[in-house]
Amino acid sequence: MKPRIILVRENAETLSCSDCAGSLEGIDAFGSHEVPDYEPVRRVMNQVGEIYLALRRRFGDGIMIDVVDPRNVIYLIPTLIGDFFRYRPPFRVFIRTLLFGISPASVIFNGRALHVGNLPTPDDLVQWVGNRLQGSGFHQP
Amino acid sequence: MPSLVLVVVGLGLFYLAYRTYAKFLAEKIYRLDPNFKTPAHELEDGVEYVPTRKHILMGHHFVSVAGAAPIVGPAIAMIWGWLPAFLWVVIGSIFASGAHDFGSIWVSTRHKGQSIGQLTAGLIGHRARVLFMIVIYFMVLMVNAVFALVIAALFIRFPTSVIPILVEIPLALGIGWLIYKHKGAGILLPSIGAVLIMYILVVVAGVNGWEVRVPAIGTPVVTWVIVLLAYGLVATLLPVWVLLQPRDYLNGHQLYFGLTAVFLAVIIGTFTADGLILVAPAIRPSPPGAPAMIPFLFITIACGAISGFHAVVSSGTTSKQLDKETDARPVGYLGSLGEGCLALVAILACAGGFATAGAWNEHYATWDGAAGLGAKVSAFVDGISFFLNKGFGISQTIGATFAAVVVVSFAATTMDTGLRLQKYVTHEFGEILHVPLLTKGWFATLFAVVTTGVLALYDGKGAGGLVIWPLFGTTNQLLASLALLVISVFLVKLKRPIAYTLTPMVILLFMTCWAMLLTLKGFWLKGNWGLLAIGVMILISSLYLVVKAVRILKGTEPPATVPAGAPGPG
Repeated sequence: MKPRIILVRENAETLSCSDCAGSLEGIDAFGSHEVPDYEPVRRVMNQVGEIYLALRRRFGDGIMIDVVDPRNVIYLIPTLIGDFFRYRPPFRVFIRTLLFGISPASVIFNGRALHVGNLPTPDDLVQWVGNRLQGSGFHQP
Repeated sequence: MPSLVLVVVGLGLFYLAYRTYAKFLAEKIYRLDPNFKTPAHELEDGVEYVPTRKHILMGHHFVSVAGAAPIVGPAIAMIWGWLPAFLWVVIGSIFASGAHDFGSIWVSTRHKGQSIGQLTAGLIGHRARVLFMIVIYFMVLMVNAVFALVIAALFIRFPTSVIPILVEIPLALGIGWLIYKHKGAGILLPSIGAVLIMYILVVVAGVNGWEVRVPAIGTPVVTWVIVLLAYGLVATLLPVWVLLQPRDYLNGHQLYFGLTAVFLAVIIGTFTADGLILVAPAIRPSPPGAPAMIPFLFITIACGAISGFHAVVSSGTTSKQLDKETDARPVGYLGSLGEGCLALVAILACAGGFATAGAWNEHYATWDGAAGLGAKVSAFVDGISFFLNKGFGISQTIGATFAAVVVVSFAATTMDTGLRLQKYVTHEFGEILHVPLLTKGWFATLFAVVTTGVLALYDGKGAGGLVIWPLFGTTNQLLASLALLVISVFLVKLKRPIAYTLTPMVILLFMTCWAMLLTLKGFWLKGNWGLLAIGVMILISSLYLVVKAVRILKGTEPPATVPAGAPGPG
């Protein structure tokens, strides 16, 4: 069973009900500048991007990495419930992750929230995940 | 006929279409290749280009395409009876919107994740881009004006909905502070808690009759529109994390909760003693005062049957994250069917959500009856409250307050987003035209709010929503035609059949131009010179774009740039 890391971060756009006004991200569609209002979100996106690439480089396809917008609850809630049965974190941890682990910047590993609100450095996370996987006999590429 | 029949037939046809027509498009027309290296892999950066599994993208895509417009359009079109609206939503979703949304993602994926808007601009040049922005500006302007009127109408007809909506603002502000400033807080519990507080207030306000009415400046509609635009001005000047982003979370929950509640209510209500019967007539070809069913049906229901905005503006994110090209089918095609489902809910509510045909007639006796737009949209609210009453035994006052709160929340978020979009387009015009004042954030915002107010209140009574709606629908459908044309251009380059994208494009173009000319004639006869000018500008700009694209398609004119990333034939 592959380990799963969920990197939760917002996309730089409005999401719900943006159908006929167009998500703000869409301003790029006619070649305009990036929407300045989303600068803080883009910073988080870039941070998550570095973490994502570091994990990919280190573990390749050996682990599943999902990058998900926290507003996508229709994916996140069933997935976290599934991960509870798949990876068997303690029930208390599962509830805490479900209720308090989804934020605009979170790292969730095998159904357990590791970081909420503040992201780790890519090196720290890679090292943590590597140690964890070594302990469970995972063969790193 | 029981309402459940409409649910079963509609959802059944959607299921069949996904299994057959979408499969046909995927295998024979777009010829999706599971081994094609998508932009998410080719340009993988972990930021925008991230290979993402289809279930994640489906959730993301659905939340972004669903909103208030697929409710408002069918609620208005119900005046011609439920059958035309039902047929257009089902056929449009399957053959037009499905091919359009799915095709847009596919084309975008084959062009390094560029949206259809960027591709169009690249294909037909700089002047086209400016025209394109004019069209977008007016389209968003109309959306904002109409939704301001929709909210005003709902506040007046369902005054118990005002308090929950007012409370939503501080709740969203609190959530914004909690998750963006007080970092480390999870979002699920606070956002669900906030929605629960809103719904508790819905019950309390409904039971106790807590109504909020404003002193009329001219008419109550005018007052509410002014209040809403003042709110819009402040909301647009605030950073997005303060109000817009946190409210996105609340709306997402409301979308799922509202859809689930209504579908369950229909199913449970159908099996109660008297069932849920469609009391609206199946067809009503010539209701008093209404424009001709054909062509106006095709532009009255835009979102829910086909919406150009999906492809033209929003095709960027999804295509940059597609893991496999074959995922474009479930994400794009199912996304359009999802919006079709929301339109089906609206049709059900407006056709079957009344005890008698007489009650239905109160809303739909005439086109302008009971203040026009307000009566039509409140038919949806009354219908939902009827279903909730039959299905769950919820009092109709509480049910109506709930439905009004959901619609107003959606419309307000769309308006907030639209005003910001207007602000950015104004800024862009300022740069193109070298007018520094237009590039100032506060001025661009003020300009957006004032132009919206002028359009919403042009008749002095704020009752012009039904006049503006066809203009919006027409523009949206012209953009959809343009996107279908771009997909067809790409299919021609690959020497593949174009009938499946060109046919809906030709039908849409024909119907929209016909409807637009009739609308413009109406403006001319009534002396609505401002609306006439806007309409003419939109029509000319849109037709210029389409004609230019057709010439490129026929090979009589070279494209401005040759789209990159095209695969070889096959």
